[in-house]
Amino acid sequence: MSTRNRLEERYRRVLRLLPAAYRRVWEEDMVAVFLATMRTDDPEDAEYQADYGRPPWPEVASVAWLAVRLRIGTAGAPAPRSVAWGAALRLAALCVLFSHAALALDQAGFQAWLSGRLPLLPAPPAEWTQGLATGPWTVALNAAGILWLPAFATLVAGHWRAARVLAAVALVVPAASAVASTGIAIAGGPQPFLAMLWAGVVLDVLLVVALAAFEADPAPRRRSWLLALPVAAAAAGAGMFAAPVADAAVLFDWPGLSCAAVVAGAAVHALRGPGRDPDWTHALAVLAGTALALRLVTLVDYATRPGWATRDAVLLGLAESAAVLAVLLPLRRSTRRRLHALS
Amino acid sequence: MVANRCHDILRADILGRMGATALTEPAFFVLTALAGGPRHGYAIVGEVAALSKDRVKLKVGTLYGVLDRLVGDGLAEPDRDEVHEGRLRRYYRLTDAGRHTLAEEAARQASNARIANAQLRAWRARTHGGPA
Repeated sequence: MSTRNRLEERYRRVLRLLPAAYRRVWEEDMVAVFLATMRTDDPEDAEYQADYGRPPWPEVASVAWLAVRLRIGTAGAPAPRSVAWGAALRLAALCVLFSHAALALDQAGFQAWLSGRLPLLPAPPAEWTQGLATGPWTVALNAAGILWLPAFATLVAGHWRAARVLAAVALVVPAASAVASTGIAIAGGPQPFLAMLWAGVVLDVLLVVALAAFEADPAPRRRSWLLALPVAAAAAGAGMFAAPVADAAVLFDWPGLSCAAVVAGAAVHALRGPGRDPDWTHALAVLAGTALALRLVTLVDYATRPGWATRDAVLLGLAESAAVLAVLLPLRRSTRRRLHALS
Repeated sequence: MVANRCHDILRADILGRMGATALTEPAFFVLTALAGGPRHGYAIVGEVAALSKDRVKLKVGTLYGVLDRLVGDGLAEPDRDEVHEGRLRRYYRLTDAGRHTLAEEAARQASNARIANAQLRAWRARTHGGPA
């Protein structure tokens, strides 16, 4: 029986990312293969490696990715619970990408209107077009935002890998913007909405990861979602236009809109009665949890900005959170019951 | 009783959606490596690198994701265990279903290659005026 060295212990710690049932079957095999791949003929190197060596990042990444894929039913011999998670994540990812595409459509329309490319519409107020940022950074941010449209279109056409590439590219500019804004804020420059910026980046990273769930079911049978896109874009656009008029930006910012959409979705789902799709119940639970986290995190931006947001705006944000929590609890209960039945 | 029935229906619904998926490139090379005879995990990593001329270098996480799927789908199975330097080495072998799947995939890829080569020959003949 061989004794464990520090390298083996470190690798076993990485393997704890994997589900326990999977580890029971494969852990010893994986450790043996990993140690064999790290073996070296030089005894001095081997001794150093045993004491101070760490699993290389590509090996850690392959285990982490396997852990994700096992839990969403796209790797190994999937357990029924993982398949259920995969189906729910596919729906949740589709909904998030749908909302990104709707907002991208609004953004494209808004930019075209401000720059006078929609002559049939009344001209925008002069103060909206004055000082309009046109620098390369703004152009890059706008272009990256538009990428959500083709990403959504390719996903509903069944090309999930292409959709994931487009989503990852769309994510690069906002992530760079969040890093740059944080650096400027730390250096004492203007304080942008940092929580909002980072929450968006984290959400999009999770979306890119969740798109991997489509590997198990890439069938192109979601084209009807394309028809719903202009309707959603019109609704979101109306909300954003109402914001300055109603002086309640917190209600109509994107986390607020996400809360409203999730509550509306859960209400429609509840009206379907006992025949409702359990995958949708599960997906709505995921979306409600995400919307609640987004709302609470982004309220920090409003609460820490004296003189900008009123106490009423923060209370409104808390009311949105309470509404999402009210739909999240029953959705979570149903989902737990279902997952328990599958285990 | 009712709860058990619900459980059965849910399981059947989920299991019904667990169809077989296409053979990925790592899975194709792992099956190809096992076609040469039973191998343990480390030997599979080396054999796949050699067969693909170092183009496919399997990480351990990737290899065991593939092996678990192949064993679950009945395309590969454990062959024997051996102790090597104090550690257990598990060997895997191809099943009849695995051999059949690999043959089908190889035929599909060969057919695709024939089609692509025919198109390229036709393109060369059109653009350079040479023999097709």
